[in-house]
Amino acid sequence: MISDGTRDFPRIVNLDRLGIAALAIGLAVAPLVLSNTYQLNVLVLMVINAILATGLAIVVRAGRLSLAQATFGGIGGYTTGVMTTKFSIAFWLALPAGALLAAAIGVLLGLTSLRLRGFYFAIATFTFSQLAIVVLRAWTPVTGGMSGMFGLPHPTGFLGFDFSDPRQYYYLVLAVLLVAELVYYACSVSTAFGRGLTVLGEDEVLATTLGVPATRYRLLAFALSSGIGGIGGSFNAHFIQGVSPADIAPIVSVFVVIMVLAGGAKTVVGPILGAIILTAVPELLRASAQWSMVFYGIFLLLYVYLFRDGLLPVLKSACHRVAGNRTINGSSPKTATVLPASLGAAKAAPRPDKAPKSPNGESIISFDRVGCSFGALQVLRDIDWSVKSGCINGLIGPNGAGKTTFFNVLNGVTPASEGTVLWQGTRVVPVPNEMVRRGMSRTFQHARVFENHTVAASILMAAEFSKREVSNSHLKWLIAFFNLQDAALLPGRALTHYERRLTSIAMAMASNPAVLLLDEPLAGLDDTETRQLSRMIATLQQETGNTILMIEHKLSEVMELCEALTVLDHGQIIASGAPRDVAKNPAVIEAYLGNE
Amino acid sequence: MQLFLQQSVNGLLLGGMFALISIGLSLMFGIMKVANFAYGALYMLGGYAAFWASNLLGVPNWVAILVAFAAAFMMGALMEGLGFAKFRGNEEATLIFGLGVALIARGGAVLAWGSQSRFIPFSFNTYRIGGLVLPAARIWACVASLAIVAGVYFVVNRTAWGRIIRAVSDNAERARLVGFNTRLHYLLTAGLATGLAGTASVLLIPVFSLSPAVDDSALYTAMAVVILGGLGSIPGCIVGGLVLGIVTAFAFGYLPSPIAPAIPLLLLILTLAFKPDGLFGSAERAV
Repeated sequence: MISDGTRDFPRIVNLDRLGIAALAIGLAVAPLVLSNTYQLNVLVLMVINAILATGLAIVVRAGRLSLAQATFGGIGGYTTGVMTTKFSIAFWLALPAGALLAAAIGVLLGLTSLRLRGFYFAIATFTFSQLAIVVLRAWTPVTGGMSGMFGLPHPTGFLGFDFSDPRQYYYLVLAVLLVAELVYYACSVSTAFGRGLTVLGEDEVLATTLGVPATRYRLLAFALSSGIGGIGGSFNAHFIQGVSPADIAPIVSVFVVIMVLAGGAKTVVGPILGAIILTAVPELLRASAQWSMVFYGIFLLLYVYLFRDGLLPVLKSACHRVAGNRTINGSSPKTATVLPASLGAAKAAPRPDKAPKSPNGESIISFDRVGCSFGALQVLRDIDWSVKSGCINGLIGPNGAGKTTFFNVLNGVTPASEGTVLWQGTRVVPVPNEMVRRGMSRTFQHARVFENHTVAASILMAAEFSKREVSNSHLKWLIAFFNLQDAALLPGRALTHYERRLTSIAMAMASNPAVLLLDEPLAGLDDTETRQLSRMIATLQQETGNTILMIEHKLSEVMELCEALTVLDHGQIIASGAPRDVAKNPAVIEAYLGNE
Repeated sequence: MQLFLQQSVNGLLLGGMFALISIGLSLMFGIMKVANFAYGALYMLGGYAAFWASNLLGVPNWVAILVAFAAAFMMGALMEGLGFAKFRGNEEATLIFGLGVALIARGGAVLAWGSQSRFIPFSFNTYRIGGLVLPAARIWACVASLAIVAGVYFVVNRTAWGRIIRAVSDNAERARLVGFNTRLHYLLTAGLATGLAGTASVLLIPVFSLSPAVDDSALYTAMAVVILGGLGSIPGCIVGGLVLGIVTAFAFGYLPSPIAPAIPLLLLILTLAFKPDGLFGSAERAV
């Protein structure tokens, strides 16, 4: 079943390779065709822009729009400029220093991105670039102030290369671009880090919940991105043999952003394509700075109205149409992830992995006098609780009782304000990705899935992000168990509500957790689906022997499924124990029906 | 002491003018939840509308102000109708759309009208009280600023239309279901917000003059004020404006001029890093 969908993939991959080969050949022979000095200058500028854009694409992929890439270029350019002219240090020694300085400052800026996103982050980066201009202007003895530095040396030649020749310089920066592109490739789809970064940009909460270490990944992304920016800036400064505050004006950073978006921020060669087009077109039109600005503006409007994924996907689907490839299940080829052979071929009947048990017989997870408040609002108070291992636990209570906050404290989305959380009897401070590693995963009230990744790829990634030992058989079993075979190659956005719910649970189960937290798994399902899924949850627990804690409002299902029940009201536990006893508890009846 | 008093006065006046620049942006944030990157461009275009009305048609200044309001109102409403309405809820698309319009307006303005500074003939004196310099243009801009901010506050919080737009802002879907024409109210709010930017632009021509480059500084100042004061809070506009104004005035009064511009930037970046809800924003808003 699963392997059926993979049949038409080879041809699509070939076309991709064809395109990349064409681009590479084009870049390699360009200076042989366009050979006068002006044209060569434009070509070098184009490749340097491509380096900056490729670097920027790393943080764009991680979900942050930075308006400071030209500033990192400036940091690189000024560093190598000062080192080569004032201290007579060789360019090739100064280059890594500039890159490291840019990377270090990039990490500092990245720290703000942990709290800021979208518009706020864009403004923070914009402010940072303004600040850099002020500093460079004021520090006249070193930086040359307003007019900047000039007379910078060309990089020293080696192996018979002479980098004062623009054509040779072109091949030099082209080689640098190739390296930058390989780094970017590692940050996109080819490594676990890249896949983690990608989903971090798409759905931060879900990615973190599945085990992606957001802080570390994002800071690393900033270091790489600004380091590449610094290198690009150095090569620019030592090509035009000067650097000035005008090189890092915010508008230059905006242009780099446009290159990334226009080419296709989510694609691997899109930023290069964007840089080529947006550098070449104004030059071809012999446009003044003002006309270029208008042109870039028009380009942005076209982007936002017509090709929100960038030009590359548009180009690609056009090529596919010409080549007669059909798109997979109505989705564009770029988002469909090939199902690895390991998941597709069914040798033996897949079996689930057994969930790990708490070693010392302690309750797997418990609360000791836990409280949680937001400002003056106390959502949870004085909670003493432990889960009953190896069965389904229920957490119920009226709306606003604090049930979801209970989950958030358990897996570390929200820190507890008081008290301690104990994992297998040991005190822990929960952080989402660490809790996944320990063996606890969760779902959300609104079924979150990765909109741009197929069900199969999402389940594979979930297993990968958890960094836990999971067998392929287990993952295959999950797809079969949740009846997701037919949907396995559909991207998240094409799923029905029920399929989304099943996928989200399958993703949480992909790490073979000891504890599975389900936040209202039955919400929004019709009667048939409710019955199906509650049966699945029961079977899931029996087959894997794990511990399930579920928040649920459908009380008849809760009564049937759960062996232990905890009732929350106004942030406090008002009853717990066997479902039948809890149902008779007068406090519970009052909380649900009100005081008559 | 003299310097201290003078910079205090300068800071207060500057703060009032900053509030004037940012009131429209604040309204857009508060009601429409939109970060309009073309705000500065519309501010600049509003100024040019007034300049040409005054220069070519010779209209009196108060008419020029109305022309600026009307021109900026229409451009803002147009942006809402053609863009923001379409991209509502998609922050990135909204941001990019605004940026695109801003680039076209900026480049186009230089191409059409050149980059030189323009003035409208306002006749303002400079008062001196005991050695303190008080330029009338700045005082009037501040008075206008206070009046406009108070007016916007009154309209949003105390009038029937204000109640409607707050309802639309709170939950557009429900407001539509109970019979409000949410599209119209969004258009009106967007128009009003940028219209106020156009008005501010004219009122500040005697102080900052008018050139295509004012779009960047207006956008940036407005963003800074709105962030310092707390996003979308109308009284926060005054607070943010005064803080930024006083910090700027003292930085320029007491520090060497190459370093002084760094201080307001540092203030903003630190606010963003540590108190993104604004200097006086409460933690509960973040929840």
